[in-house]
Amino acid sequence: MFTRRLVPVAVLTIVCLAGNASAFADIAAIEAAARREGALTWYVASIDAANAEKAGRAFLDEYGVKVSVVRAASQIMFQRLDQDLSQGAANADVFSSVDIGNFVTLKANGALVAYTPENAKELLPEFQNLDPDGFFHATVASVIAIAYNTQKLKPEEAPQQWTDLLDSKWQEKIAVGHPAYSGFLGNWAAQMLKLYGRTYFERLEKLQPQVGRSGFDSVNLVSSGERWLTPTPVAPILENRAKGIPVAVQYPTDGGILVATPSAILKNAPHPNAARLFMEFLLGPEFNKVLAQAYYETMRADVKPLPEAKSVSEIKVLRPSIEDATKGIPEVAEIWRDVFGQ
Amino acid sequence: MSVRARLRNLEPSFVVVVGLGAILVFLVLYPLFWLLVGSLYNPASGGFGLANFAAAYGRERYIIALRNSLVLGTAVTALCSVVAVPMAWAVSRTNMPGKTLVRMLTLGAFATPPYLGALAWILLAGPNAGWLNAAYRAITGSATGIFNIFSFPGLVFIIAIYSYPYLFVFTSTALDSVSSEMEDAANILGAGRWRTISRVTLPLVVPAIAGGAIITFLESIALFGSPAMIAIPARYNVVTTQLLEFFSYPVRVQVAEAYALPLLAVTVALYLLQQRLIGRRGYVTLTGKSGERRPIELGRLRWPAFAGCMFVAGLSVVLPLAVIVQAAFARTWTRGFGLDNLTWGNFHYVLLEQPATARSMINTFTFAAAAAVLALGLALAIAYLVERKLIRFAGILSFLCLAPFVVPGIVLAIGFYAAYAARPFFLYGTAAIMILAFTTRFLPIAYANAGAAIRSINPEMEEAVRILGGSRWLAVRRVLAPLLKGSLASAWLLVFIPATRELSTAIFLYGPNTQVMSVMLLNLTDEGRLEAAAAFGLLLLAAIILIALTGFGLLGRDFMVRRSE
Repeated sequence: MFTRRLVPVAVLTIVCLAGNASAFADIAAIEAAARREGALTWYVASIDAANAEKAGRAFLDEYGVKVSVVRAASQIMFQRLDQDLSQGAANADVFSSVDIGNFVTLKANGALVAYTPENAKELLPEFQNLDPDGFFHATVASVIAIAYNTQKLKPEEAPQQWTDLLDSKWQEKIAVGHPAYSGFLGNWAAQMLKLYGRTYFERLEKLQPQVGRSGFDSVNLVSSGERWLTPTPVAPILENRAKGIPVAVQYPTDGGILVATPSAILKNAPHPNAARLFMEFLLGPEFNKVLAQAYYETMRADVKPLPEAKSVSEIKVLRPSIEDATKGIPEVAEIWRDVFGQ
Repeated sequence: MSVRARLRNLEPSFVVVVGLGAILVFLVLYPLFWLLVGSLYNPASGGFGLANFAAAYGRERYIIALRNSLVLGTAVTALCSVVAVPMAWAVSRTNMPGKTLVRMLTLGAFATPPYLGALAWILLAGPNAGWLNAAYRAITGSATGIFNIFSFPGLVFIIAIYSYPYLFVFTSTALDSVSSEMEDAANILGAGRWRTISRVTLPLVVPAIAGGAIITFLESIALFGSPAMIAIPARYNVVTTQLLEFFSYPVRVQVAEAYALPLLAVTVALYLLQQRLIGRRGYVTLTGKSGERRPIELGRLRWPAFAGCMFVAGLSVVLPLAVIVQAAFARTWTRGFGLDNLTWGNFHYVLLEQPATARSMINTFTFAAAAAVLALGLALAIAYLVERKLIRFAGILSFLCLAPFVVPGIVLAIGFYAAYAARPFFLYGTAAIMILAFTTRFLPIAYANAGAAIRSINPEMEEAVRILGGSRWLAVRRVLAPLLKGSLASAWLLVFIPATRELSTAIFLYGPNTQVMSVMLLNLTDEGRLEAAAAFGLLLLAAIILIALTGFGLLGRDFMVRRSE
């Protein structure tokens, strides 16, 4: 029935229009079908609930399609999705998370649908073609750097590079998210393992850092002055700073870690057209404006980031490969658990 | 005998027993059966064996977590006993002032979700920024604070101050039904006050204390929220945080099942111990005959006793509430009190900006109320059959009612998940699976309360009905029900309140439309939104207190403050 409905559109397209206009017609059809579906469910871990709801409202305003946001930390969200899939329960339409390894697994299991949004062309070059087969696309990115409490440390006292965090003067002064819970910190730990080996964690452990559940949580510990330093995505640091909280960002000279996090459409999505339309939206300017206001990297050239967030062209960044995530995160999580005892 | 004659001769109670048995099998046995089967099942080979047990106990840190949980449970239970039993005695049996206040604050401690308490104590006793440490540094001029909530003692403390109400309620309920006549008898025979307490009063309530202690122990090792917030930073791995590790991707449900099963042995042992403690001694104390309860004169100890009770209540309720309120109305909690730091924004955020959090409030109270009704109805029916020895093998039903306490909420959730999420039930992500899981989870509390309530009523009163020609049902309806009304209402609340704050069962069973407040609150703290979490927690607390006060208003002195006049 669906195909039948599309036939006249396709015929009309071929007959009357040429070139890229056909894609435009596709989107119009998708949008019409999405409006009929009226709703979608978004499993999201890559941004916090407040910004996810903000994005959902923007989508509702633009297309009249309601977004149900389900938000939790990366590995918890993936665990839920895995449960859904093994039960054959079609709950989620779109999945946005941090650990790219999760997407590779989903793709290999045939749980995703290949769909390349029109807007994918508009992405900045460094974010294009995250998956050559188009099963998932980069939609959110942030650089992992060091947050420090400005009441406890002057800018010149803040660590210059990742290895400076291992100085004995930071005994009981560091907070860090658990790499087995947080997708961002999983990426960070995998890079530390790659650069400095297991000894990095053994030396870090001796400093008795406070291990929280996520990068956002550890920003809060530093914000309150409970701890002085934490490795964490830049976005929540700057968001806190804008609220008048005494925190600042230090970009490590051995490389901030640029994590581009994917979104994908589930194969069993109960609202397949709304899901496709939402993927267009995630790569479009409106969503990127939400991201920019929350100090995430913008993924498109036509949306400018706020001036407080340094552009990745100004700093040295490390870009984890897909293999870094698929192999590195599980490996470093296990090393972490052995070194830290849990 | 024809079939019809057989049916006519069929005892109605037999039908009832079979029905109740079937419900228990559905709620308790079938999920546990799936746990057992799963623990032996090897998904890779499709065969059965002990490989999961080898994996579950094959690492030192898994064994350490198991040991840590047992140490934690023991320490919490010991601390709770030391605190709650004297408090219960002072409130139930003495002329200590402010008894109603102490009962209310204890109810407040019971109503406080442990993870909200943990959040409050992070604000209070975080080693550097916590309010208490800041105050200590300001007063003494010391460079470092003295409290560290992120430690083993911190974890024991934070669990104990929200677990002691179990022992308190169990002990005081039992003490309330001990008539002064027995103590008078001891006095007349020459026993002094302390001898009377230790040889007459306390032994009478030992079963209640043991019951409360066992529940405290099992509850504390099954907790998920506080360990997630305190034990992970303290790097003190316990069973629930370890189970979380098994449940993270790649999920090792079967290993987790194997890891959790030996805890069953611990609980069975404790249950048998409790049975032995009660023994064959009769504890019928509410006889339907006149029994006077006179408060014991504390003399000069009146006010110190009150101060002691208030100290405990202050740590569990007053201080945490103060910092939660401060944070709930603060732009940022660290900036302290001040007009420029005041805002309604956190409430606006959780009620209006986040549809999911607002919806979770409705879910929470609907699920908890439904679960409390189901659990209590079931528990009451079974407790009556068991206590009145109306059927053979009643012990099995009794055991099934108590069995869920064995299973940490997380594991119960997985059992439910395995049993009911998929075909033929298809309950995955539905409200039904949440309500049924909550019912099972709190069946032991409902059963313990229903059992205690029925035990305390002398069967002679119902027997009188039977002798006078009334049916068993008439005896239940016209004698038992009116007598039980008050204790049943408080029992309902004792199930309802923990169900509203239940986290560990919910975390693996909720679906996109069945999220509950505990899950949302943990998500908010996960994100570091402590102010919004505090505001949300405050809403949860306010609702629970409102409901408890309504119960208090409706039932008057029968609810929680019973017989403290």
